[in-house]
Amino acid sequence: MIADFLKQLPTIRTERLILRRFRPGDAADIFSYTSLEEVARYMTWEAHRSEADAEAFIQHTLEALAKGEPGAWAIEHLADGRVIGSCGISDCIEGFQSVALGYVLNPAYQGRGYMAEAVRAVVRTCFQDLGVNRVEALCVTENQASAHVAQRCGLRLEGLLRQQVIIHGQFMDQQVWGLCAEDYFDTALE
Amino acid sequence: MGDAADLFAMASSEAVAQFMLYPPYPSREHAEGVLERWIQRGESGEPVPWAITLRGEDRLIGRCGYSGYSPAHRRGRIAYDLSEAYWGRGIMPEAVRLVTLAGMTQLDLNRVEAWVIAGNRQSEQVLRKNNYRLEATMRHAIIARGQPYDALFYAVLRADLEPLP
Repeated sequence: MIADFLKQLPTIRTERLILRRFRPGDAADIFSYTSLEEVARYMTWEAHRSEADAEAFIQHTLEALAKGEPGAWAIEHLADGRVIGSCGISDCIEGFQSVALGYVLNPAYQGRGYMAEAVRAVVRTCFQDLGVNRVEALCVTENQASAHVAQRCGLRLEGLLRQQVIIHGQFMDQQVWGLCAEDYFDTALE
Repeated sequence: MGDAADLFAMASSEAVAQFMLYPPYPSREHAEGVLERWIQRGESGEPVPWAITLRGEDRLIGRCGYSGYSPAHRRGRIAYDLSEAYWGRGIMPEAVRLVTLAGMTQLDLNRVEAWVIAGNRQSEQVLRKNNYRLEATMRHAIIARGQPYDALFYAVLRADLEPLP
């Protein structure tokens, strides 16, 4: 179900953003934040060392999407045309009609509600267009900015998974934030 | 194929399948198909469950094994079921203990997880007896037979069981 959707990856428009497929020309914009230690700190990937790393990321993302594998939208800031982050979706467990969200934002654009605006639009797309049964986000406990976005998008804190991931060689706990379709459609007052 | 009849006898039971992802097995042929796929998977190095047998009786009475495995994060996920005739004898806790320890000692896992469909109190007891803790209750995270169920997410850490035998 989700594979066909990922192959298509429809463009999503919000008030201040456009979520679209990555393009080769986005590498400089991506590198401006993926090169930062403060961004890579809670991610399973290492900070990019050069624009070539960002180019490889774009190529990998586009190839994955072409095969219907988990990938991400580029988040373009309408006002200046720059790519300021990404939001991705992946299947949690095959057959459970459930998707996991992952997201990242250039710190220069933080604090203005962009991440929540993008993620909220992705959550809506997942429930209303893709027809999933549940969306979830696993947030490293120390990354409260990420948890805050999940909360603002209507996800609920469901628990804490101890030593769930190894990030840069360290075990880290993750909060589970989730929202099921039944609760979403109960509360969606947009 | 000697296990097919026993597997079918166990998994065709509504009581056993009630909290599992599979509908009750419709036929012995279905059980044979499941076993064939596992044998193929095992030969290609993928995880397959162990058959549970009583000492001295070489008959399948249940299954327990890893249904998921992430070497990068050193965690695995177990799944298990047991023939109804053997419930209430402490067999499943014993099997889960062995499989949990095997994951930690042989696969070098740091964390072993199990998902329980909400309402399956017997399964929760099996996990609690093995020091698994309830970490999250995930709304509608499981779809079984077309219906959504809340998932009780249990896990045990290596540190909870040390020193390992």
